[in-house]
Amino acid sequence: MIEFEQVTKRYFGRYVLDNLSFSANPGEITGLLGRNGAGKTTALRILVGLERANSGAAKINGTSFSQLRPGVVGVGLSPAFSPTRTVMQQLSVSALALGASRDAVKKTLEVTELDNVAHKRCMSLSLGMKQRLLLACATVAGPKVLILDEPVNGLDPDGIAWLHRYLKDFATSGATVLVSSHYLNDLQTYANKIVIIQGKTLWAGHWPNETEPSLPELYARTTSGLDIR
Amino acid sequence: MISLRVLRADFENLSNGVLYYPILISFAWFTYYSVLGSSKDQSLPAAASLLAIFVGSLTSIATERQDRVADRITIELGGPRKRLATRMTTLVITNSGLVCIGLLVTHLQHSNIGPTMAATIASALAVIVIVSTLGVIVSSYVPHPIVAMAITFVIMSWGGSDPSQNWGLSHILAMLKAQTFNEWWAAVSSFAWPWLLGAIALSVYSRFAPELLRARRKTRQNPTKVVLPFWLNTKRSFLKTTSLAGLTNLLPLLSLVICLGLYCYGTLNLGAQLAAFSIGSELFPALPGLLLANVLPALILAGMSQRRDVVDQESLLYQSQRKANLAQVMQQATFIFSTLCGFIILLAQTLGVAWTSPVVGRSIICAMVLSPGFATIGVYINRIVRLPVLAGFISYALTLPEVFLGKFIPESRPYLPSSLFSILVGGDSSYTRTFSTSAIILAYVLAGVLALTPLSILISKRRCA
Repeated sequence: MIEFEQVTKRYFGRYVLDNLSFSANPGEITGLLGRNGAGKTTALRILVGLERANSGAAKINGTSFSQLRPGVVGVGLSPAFSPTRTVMQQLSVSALALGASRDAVKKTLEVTELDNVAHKRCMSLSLGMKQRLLLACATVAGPKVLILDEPVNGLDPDGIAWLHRYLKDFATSGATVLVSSHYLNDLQTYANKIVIIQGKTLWAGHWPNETEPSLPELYARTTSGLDIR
Repeated sequence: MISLRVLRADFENLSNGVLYYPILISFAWFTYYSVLGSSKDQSLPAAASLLAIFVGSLTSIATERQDRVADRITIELGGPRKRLATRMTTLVITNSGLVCIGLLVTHLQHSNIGPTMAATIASALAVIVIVSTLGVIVSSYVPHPIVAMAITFVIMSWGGSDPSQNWGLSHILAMLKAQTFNEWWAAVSSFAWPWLLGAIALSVYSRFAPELLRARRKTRQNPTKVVLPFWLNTKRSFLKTTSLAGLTNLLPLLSLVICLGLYCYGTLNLGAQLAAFSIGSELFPALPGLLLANVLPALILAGMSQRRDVVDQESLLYQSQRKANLAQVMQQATFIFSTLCGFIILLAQTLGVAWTSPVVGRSIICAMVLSPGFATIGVYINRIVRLPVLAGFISYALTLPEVFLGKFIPESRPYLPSSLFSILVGGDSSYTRTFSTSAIILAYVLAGVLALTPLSILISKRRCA
């Protein structure tokens, strides 16, 4: 379970997150939505310890990210890798750090269809391939919690379909998934819960929802009149 | 035809996107004014200020590529050819403005008006036009700023540090000192040829490279066979992850070697021109001191070669910011130590000092003891300073001003960083051969503080950033 409790983050006096509170439950895919600058990425960075909150706490399974056993949480934030590493080296370093087996690396390469480019250097990969590598690194150790920031960016239709299947199967097995995205149509096909934020939580609820006919409509109504930060 | 709109847009790109450009040009002028008062050869300062435009022009497009704005700029400026033509124009205007107006003002200040001034400005313009046009073509094929810096290092050091032997300086000096137009033109031509050849060779290569690479790919046997690394079967440990993550990520090491070489060469060259050094017959203790003083600035500059989101991605491997900092310090300290050992052995071999001599041993011990401290400070500065331009400025501010302090404030010589490190190595420094007791005490206090600095990570409360 992922919990944000009254998380506040200020940069030079400007509030990026203002008492943000929501939770993502096991067995569900929670979609985090918001306009540009709404604080989605900052919230995820605070959750995995790359940023510090000014107040409040972001917890995974009741504790901070750094206290959890390596491999329990899979994180895919930005598809940025050392340019001199090969795909195989990058995945292997992640596997070694997270305690994944040799077979898991082999299987992940096949599942993400990276086996054909395993010996290519990261600097020569396309954005889509880098995104696949990011997903491979996040999932290689078979995590129980998955945190992804804009995972469909740069993915081809096959890759997106694979990701949808993977996330659904993953959540069905009881895992917690938190996905940040601004692709509404994409998110509404696989998310079980939607959280719309703009510094703070504007709307949170299960999806599909009987009272809300479509996600684009709900999103437009919730965020209308808000300034881009 | 380049419109005023695209020129204006590219001037904005030049001021924002090019990391080293304003710093280098400002630094060149600082050097110029400082040297002018002390040098007997009035041509040398003008030549020194022109050398700064080499790196500015060569890194121009490579830095934009690293910042992932190169494609956007190309589209905005109307395609690759227009983009190159625009950048050439903006660089010629900027460099001319910075260098020629400066030269003009300085000549006027010294009432040095006449044929000499005209010849100096004409030569400066020739160098600027060559480097800012052909250099931009070369820059457009350079994949990374660190490669551009390596090329600059090779160009600037080709032929040695003696101005009459150094390739760049000797050609620029020949232009500045030419008595007839034919002499001047001969110097300009011989300076322009290598740039022209480089630009043509890269253009031709880039045209045929896709075919060449495709042909090479076709001959490869079984390209899809996946071979897993042997170390993957072993048990997970912090030390193993750190060492393998470091060994497979060679960009920081390469950057450190280049930056350290560039700084040491720059310090030596500037010091020689300023006559700031008072090195006796024993060169060896002075040079390792200079080398150690340049480690931290080089480390900060080299840190800019790694993108911040790559560093974040690496941090996630350890799940804790403290562990990630520790891992980065361990990797950097190993890189620093091995680079310093390489440089020390190279210096010893070049200067004919036996590897077994005590001074070489002390240099290596100093490198071993101080490397973790340097690495810790470097990691902290690179984490705090988010602006690459600011990191570049801090890096410069930590190194080359000591040459000026050594030259113009003689009392400061025993307390300069390179003098303090020379005391630790056990010999004369580049600036002085007499040390007071307070300088010796300060050197050992500095060593103690640096040796203990890595402990700050271990006692840090910040388990998670």
